[in-house]
Amino acid sequence: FFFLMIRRPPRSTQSRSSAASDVYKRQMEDTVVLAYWHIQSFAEPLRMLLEYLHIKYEDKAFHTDEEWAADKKALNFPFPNLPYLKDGDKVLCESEAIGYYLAFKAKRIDLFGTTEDERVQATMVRGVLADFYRDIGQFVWNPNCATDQPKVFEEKFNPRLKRLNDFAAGKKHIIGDNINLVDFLLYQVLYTVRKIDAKALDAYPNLQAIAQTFENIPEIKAYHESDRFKSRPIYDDEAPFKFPAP
Amino acid sequence: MGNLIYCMEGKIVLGYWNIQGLAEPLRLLMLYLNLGYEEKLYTDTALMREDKAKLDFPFPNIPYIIHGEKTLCESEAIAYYLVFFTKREELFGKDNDERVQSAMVHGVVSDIYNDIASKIFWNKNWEADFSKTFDEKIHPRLQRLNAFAGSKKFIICDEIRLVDFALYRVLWLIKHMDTTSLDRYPNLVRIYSSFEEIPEIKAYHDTEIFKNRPVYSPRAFYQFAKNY
Repeated sequence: FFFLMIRRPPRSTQSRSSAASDVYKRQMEDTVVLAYWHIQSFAEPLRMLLEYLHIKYEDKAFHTDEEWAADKKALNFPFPNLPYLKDGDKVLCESEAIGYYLAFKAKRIDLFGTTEDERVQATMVRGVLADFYRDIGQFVWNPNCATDQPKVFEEKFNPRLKRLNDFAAGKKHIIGDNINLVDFLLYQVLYTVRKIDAKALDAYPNLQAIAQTFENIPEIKAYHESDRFKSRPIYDDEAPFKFPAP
Repeated sequence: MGNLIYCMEGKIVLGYWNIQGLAEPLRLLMLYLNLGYEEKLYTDTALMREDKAKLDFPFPNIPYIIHGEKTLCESEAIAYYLVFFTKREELFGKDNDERVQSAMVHGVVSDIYNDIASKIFWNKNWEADFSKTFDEKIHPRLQRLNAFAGSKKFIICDEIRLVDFALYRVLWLIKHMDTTSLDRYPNLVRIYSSFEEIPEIKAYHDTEIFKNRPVYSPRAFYQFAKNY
């Protein structure tokens, strides 16, 4: 009789239902949420980073202030801002902090730099790119961007591109042989500048090569072929500078 | 060459305008780290440009440091370099969570600084925009920082971190633009005092060099009162 007794599993064992709704629920629990406006801008390097790190994420895109206000009220932010990252109960803002968090989560501290010198160089490049990115934002929102474009390129963009190009000489990625968090920022700058003017990188072959190398990373390539990427505008439609349609 | 203690012969040369500006947090950091440094203080744009060209930086700018063979620009990168050089990596944070929190606070503090610089310092109409900038851009963030600080001695934890230097700088500027503006943030006031009590910082603030050095660019639209 005892041999016929069915041995029940101990109570501590999870019963992993294979019902679709439960599978979905578990998947969503493993998924982080990256929330931003429905444009590329500051979130795009983080989207590329999530893709590269194979971290499952919900790409939450706001179209209106009301949508963002609703989230602001519902979630417990220390400093409410966009982009934000939600991972379980944790909510994090500030794109640099989010980048660090994802690199730690994926156990990829090499992305900060593989030596102290690389980490210092990456910090330097990050500062340079922050200024460059600010200049791009100012240009895109400048009501006279069309007439000012040649001057902005001559006085702001090209000097920075030249310096970055010189710095990039002989390197596979911007810091060296190893990909770095700042490569994600750099690519977004180069991509955006090339969308402003298709010829913008013609004089900067090292930067073209680095952009190409980055684009050929399988995860980046796959992401760039997705509808989600292709349908996303670079900046708001209301910005004075009109980017070519995605 | 001035006060011996603060302009001594040393291995590190810091190049900048003869103002507090972006170099001030680095001065405070080097003092805190007990690093001797020499200052190359520019009052002349032409001379500064000449030096920048001679030093052959990949991204020429000031502040810069020269340390033996090494030359470096970008204040964040210089701060990192100093932390590594003195083997004080706990200043980044003692664990990953602190490092992430530091990056987040640094982002918030940078946003405050950028708003102060663009909407007040370099704004022709700063007088008209002053209150609005404080009400809409500065106070909401100070309130959040105050809540985030809680009862901690410094902004991340009870020990000083690199981001405290950036925070102190921004709080100092705000306090010297509007003397009562920090009063409603007791946690930030406590952090501000804790920072100023650090012996090396306290000593520096008593020097004539500090007291006589202008806060910011003479070309800025907003000018600080001299009495500090």
